[in-house]
Amino acid sequence: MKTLLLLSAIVFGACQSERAAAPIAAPANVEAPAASAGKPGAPVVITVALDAARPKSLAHVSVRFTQPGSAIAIQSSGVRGVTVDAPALQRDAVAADELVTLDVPFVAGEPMGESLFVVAVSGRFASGERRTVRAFVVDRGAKQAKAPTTTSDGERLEIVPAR
Amino acid sequence: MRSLSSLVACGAAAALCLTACGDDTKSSRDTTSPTDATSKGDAVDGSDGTNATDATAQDDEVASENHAPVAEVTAPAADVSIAVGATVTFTATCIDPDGDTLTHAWDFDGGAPDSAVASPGAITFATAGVFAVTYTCSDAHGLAADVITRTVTVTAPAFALDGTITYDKVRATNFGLDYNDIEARPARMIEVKLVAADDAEQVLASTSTDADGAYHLEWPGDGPSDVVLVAVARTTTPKITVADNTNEGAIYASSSDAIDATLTTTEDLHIESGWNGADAYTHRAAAPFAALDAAYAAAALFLSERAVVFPDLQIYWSADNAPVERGAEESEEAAMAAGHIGTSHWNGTALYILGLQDVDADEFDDHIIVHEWGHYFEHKLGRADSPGGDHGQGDTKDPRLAFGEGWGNALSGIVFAPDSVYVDTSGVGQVDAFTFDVDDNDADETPGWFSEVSVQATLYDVFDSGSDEAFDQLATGIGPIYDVMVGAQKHTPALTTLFSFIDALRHAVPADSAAIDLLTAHNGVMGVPVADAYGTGETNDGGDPANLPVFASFDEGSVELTFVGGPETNTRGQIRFVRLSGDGVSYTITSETSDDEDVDLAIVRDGVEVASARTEGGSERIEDFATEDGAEYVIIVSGLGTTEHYTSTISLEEGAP
Repeated sequence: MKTLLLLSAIVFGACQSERAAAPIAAPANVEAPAASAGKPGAPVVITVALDAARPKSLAHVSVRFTQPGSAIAIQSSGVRGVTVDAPALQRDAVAADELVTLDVPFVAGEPMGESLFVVAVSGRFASGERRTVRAFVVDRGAKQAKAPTTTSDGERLEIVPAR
Repeated sequence: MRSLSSLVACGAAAALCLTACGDDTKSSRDTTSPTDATSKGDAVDGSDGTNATDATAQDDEVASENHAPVAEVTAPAADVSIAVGATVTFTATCIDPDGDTLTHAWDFDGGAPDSAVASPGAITFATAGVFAVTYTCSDAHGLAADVITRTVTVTAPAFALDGTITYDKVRATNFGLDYNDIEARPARMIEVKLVAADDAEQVLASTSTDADGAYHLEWPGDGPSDVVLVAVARTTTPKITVADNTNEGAIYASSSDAIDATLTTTEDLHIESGWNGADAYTHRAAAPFAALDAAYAAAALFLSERAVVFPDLQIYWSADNAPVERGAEESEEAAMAAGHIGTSHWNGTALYILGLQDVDADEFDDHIIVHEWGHYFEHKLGRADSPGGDHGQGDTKDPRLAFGEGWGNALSGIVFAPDSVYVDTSGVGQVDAFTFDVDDNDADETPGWFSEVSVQATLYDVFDSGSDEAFDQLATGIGPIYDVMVGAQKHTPALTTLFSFIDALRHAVPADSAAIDLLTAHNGVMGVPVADAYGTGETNDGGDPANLPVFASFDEGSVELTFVGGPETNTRGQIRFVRLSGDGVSYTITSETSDDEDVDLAIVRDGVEVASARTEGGSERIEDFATEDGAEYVIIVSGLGTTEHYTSTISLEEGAP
């Protein structure tokens, strides 16, 4: 059995860069790295610890809400070999900084590429409905080869038939 | 026929007879110089071989006085190019000064059978090629005129192919992607290549589509006639490329079936979504083109009003791009190659877009593509001071983040106006979605300069035309917005917030100042009309007086700032700003913080960090910071504590301590 602790904090480079140690009075004109910014999501931090043991495994899912919300749904699923058969956890309301935990059984089959355990959290928050989806690697199977074509004019193309 | 007597006479003097009759005298002719030949020309004219008494002398004289014929090709007059099967008429004249019998030789270099007459007439060239046709004329002594050459270029008739390239656009709705509502949209301004059917590497011709997706290709008729059309996921102007980050950056392309160009001159290419009609994609051919066209739509809007030179943009999309956070042991490069992109985002150099079906795929979510494109625009053409990080509708955030994200949201509605509803689909079968209307000015419970909802609604209303909302009297179009974003907003000495934008807009369109104030007053987004880029005098504190002033100033060398603690790092009240006007003096800037909480200091000028102090704890020091007289700086104080409220005193001391 292996246990993986996986955190999805939706924290990007800029936040980390502001925490980074730097010498006092750095030289002039040191431009801070551009901050990453993702698409709008739900005010949640999703953490998953996977007990991945075939044939039956368990995912310990933790969702911390940074804002109060209502009509909350926490839905787990799997792709590429991971099968989850569990209904969504419904909550009428959550408070700011509330931590919701649940254990979700799943089956880790033969991975088709990189198999993933997926958590989607949705609900109504301060300005309306919001949703965040996070995925966690369960196993890494063989990656499907994608051979590019190098054309005579020097382009590396990944050509997919149009139909 | 000669008489018997003549034969006898010749038989008696055979050597003389043969020589006089013009037989081989090559050895003596080769020794005759041109000068000799000219000077003795008259003698040649008179030599009929009758003076047998001076045979040897006569022999030498005849040989040395022979003249080369003079040739001219009268048709064609110059080199010619023709199609396969066409004819060229060849005529030549050749005159021998000595009146010798002439021989003619046309060599058609394999393009046609050789000819031995001066004017062979119409010659047909049945095969393509370049033929060096030569004409040679020789006299009876073998002396030749200069060789004349005409090059005949024979080309096969060019193949041509016309058509239109379209892609499947699956509609994103409140209920996820609607595979029953798929529109064939033109693949606008994309590159098109024609390759050999049996060799995809052999590019025969290239072009690009127009705004309707139409293309025209021609290639030489001596090339392959069995070809394949390849649509490349890259626009030409501006240059936007969609590539696969999980395949070493290979550029997406989509190909037709084999085409026999001898049978057709029209070939439309439709790039399908690959949805199998039930529960899965069989391929994802349309996905890169959908993402590409959404980004192109954004650029095209600006180009419709301003001559913008857009920097090249790289979009990375992959069916393997999953909402998996980068692992602790994973380099960014390795994470992107594995498709662990976290979410759709702009990373400062490229857009990364989710593509994992049944989880979260964004290629058909136009508004998401444009939202991220908006970040590209800010970084490459304007300026973005946002600290980044998580965000969403209804959040109260650092005003730099609120502006950047509100800008992205607003732009997504602006580009697809009047479709102002942002849709993000996801889930198994792509059937889930959440939406918000960027034109909804009343969506936020706590409107303000710290709310991306307020920013998006304000910017959208600045742009849009026509409204039944009393507070929305503006309709600037995209031009003034562009001018502000690449002008005053880019160069603001403050930070890029809604204050700096509105202040710049009021100056850009002064006639609309009252309308701007009316708009920003709605719901109290701004408590008072915007006075400057620093939000001086702002009264909307979002329910917490500690949030004001937006930009603090030193009072007798120090200022006390109040911070809101919490686990995040980009929430309103966690980062505070202090103005510092340069006067040519060097200062030491320090912080002293309550509750042993951690704060960091950074000094920026025009958005560029010029000094910083980031250590553990609340006591930071930037020593001997030399200010430039007249320059404006902002000290960014980042509070990293968890106490609900704590304070930090920022002090300014002249010179080194």
